[in-house]
Amino acid sequence: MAECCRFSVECCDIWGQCKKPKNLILELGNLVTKPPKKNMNKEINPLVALGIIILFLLPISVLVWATGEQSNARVGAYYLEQDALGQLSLQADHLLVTQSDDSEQVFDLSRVGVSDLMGNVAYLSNNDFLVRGGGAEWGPVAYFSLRGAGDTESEKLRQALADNTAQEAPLIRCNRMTETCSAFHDFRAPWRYRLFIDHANNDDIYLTQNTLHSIKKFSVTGDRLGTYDNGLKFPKRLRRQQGELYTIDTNHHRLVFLKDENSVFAEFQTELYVAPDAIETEASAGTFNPAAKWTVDAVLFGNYWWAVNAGDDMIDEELHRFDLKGNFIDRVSLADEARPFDLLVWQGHLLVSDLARGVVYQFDESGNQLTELQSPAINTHFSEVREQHDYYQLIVNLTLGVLVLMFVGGLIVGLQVGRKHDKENPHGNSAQGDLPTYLSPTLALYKPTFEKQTFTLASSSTITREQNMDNILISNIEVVPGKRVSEHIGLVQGSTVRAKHAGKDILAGLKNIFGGELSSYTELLSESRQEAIDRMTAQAKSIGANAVINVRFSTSSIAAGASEILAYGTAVLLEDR
Amino acid sequence: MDALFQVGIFVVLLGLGFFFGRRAERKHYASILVREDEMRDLVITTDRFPPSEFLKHHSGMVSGNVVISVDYFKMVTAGLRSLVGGRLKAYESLLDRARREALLRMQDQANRAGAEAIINTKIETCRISGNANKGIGSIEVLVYGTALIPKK
Repeated sequence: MAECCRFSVECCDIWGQCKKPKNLILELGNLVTKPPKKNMNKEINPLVALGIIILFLLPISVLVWATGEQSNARVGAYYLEQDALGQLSLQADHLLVTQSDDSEQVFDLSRVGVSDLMGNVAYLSNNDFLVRGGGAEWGPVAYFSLRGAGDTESEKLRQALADNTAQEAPLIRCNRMTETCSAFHDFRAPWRYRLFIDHANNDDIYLTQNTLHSIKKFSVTGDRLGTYDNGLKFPKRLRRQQGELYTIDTNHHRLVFLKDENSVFAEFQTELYVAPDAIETEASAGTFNPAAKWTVDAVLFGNYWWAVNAGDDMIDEELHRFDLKGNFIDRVSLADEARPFDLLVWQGHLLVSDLARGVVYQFDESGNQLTELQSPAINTHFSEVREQHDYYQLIVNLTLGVLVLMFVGGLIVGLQVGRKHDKENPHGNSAQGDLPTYLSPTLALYKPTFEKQTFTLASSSTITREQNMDNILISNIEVVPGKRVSEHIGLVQGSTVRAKHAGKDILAGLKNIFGGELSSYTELLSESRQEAIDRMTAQAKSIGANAVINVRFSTSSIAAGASEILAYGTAVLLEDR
Repeated sequence: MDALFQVGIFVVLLGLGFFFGRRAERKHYASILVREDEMRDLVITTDRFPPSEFLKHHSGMVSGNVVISVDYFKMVTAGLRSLVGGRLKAYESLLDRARREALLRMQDQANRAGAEAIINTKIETCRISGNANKGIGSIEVLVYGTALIPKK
């Protein structure tokens, strides 16, 4: 018993000899280990590929998430109402009411299922108010991209909006004092509506359905009193001016005065255009914003009509003055970043709410700005929203940077891998590559040394003492000159399926525009053909042949970007004639 | 606006294809002619059996391949032509170039091996998919044959 086995039986083999390290056994047994695998495939483990994909998807999903969150963190509308000076109506689940006695009150509306307030809040005389009990969805962004669209397009949009029942929500009537709510009516308000309650006239309720281009009238108890929808395009809101009821027809730049004597609500009385004439003349003079395409709000104050006109995408709002006949007077200058939204005549002043800063500007009749009214709660909210916005902007920027870095890094690594591969497999391009050894007329052919060989395909480990290992003659003729076929052994074949990597594919796609040779594909295909030949040769060798004659190639594309290359021929044993 | 943009892209691609494609083709033909002249003394046949004077030669397979792509201009003109039928000259010249280039590569390999002739030459043409299956996209031409090399 050998030394090492004195204390343990496990390390001994069945002959009682010490086990030797494996590689030693191989050497002693004179077995030829497999030739080192050529780094032919540069194949990526599917798991690694999955990892890379996930690595790239991660920042992209973060990006998508952050962008979505950022768009949610937008400051909503700042409405002005007569009996409650300011309302902050945001995609937040609370409502802020500035009451006339300078105190502020916050309602938590999430209790009653109201999570966004896209329209306004209207007050009845008895401390009740009406809100739309909507879900968490924003309205369609498509509304904003309707730049100066024709009637067919806005009609299409109107239908799309009207069809989307998910964006309709019931009106809810709440009480300010008791903080209790109940459904007001079975009618569902669409996205983007405005409520107007006519305190001078029995608290009649008018609902401006912006996206449905109509106005509905209800009594305070919820009875339907009428509808007006004649030729309106996105009516913004309804106002009462010295006994006359008018609506702002956003897309037509006009104010439509309605006759309203209960039963004849649906009758059209007169109209006043604000802006359309001015656009051409004043745009050339440079005083009027030519992009002003929408009229958001208009009130009569002093001897002028004051109108907020917005440009494309409902941004670039400006405050304009018109005379009583609708002729453009001038543009009222506001702070640089100001986005005027809502107008209100209140105690002899004009109040203009600003969406960007969350303040209310106070104007006198001659157009001088007197003060800025600010509400602490609104300020807090606006700064919170802005912080949120900046936070998500930071995330977006960071992830974008990471993505760019990863992309560049991936490109560099890919190029490196490709270069390394090319260095290791120089025969890739047949034009410059080494010649196959069998082309040398002086080199002896491979000699299979075993006599009888059972057909164990590709079991190259059984071959002992190889000579001229690579020199198997390959030829595509049947009769090899100067040689005699001593034994026909059989058909051998080798095939490979290759796909090119995405980068090369894109580059090749670009090349498709200019035409010309796609050298990366040429290389790839000749490389894979070499691989197919190698496999065929190995097979031929394993069955004891020293030549493959009558070789044929066949190429077929089996899928987009992947092709199979097959080489087949007859394995024979050649001898000199 | 969108349509205008698309037309613009189309025109730009067409122009790029026209100029670069024409230039590439002219240059390629020039180089093919020069190289073909250099290879004149190499016999290439499609005979299956070696001629009698080569019976003592050593033999082995040589091959050459090329992947070539059609330019945008040619694709469009060929598309127009296929409406009325007839010869697609655009594709003819493309395939001609590819085949001659592949032959030249095979000849080059044989030349370096010191061959005197190539027999049993086979030419195989294969379309490489990956061009969204429209148009002819890119094609591979493979040429292979058996080179006959004199024994020293």
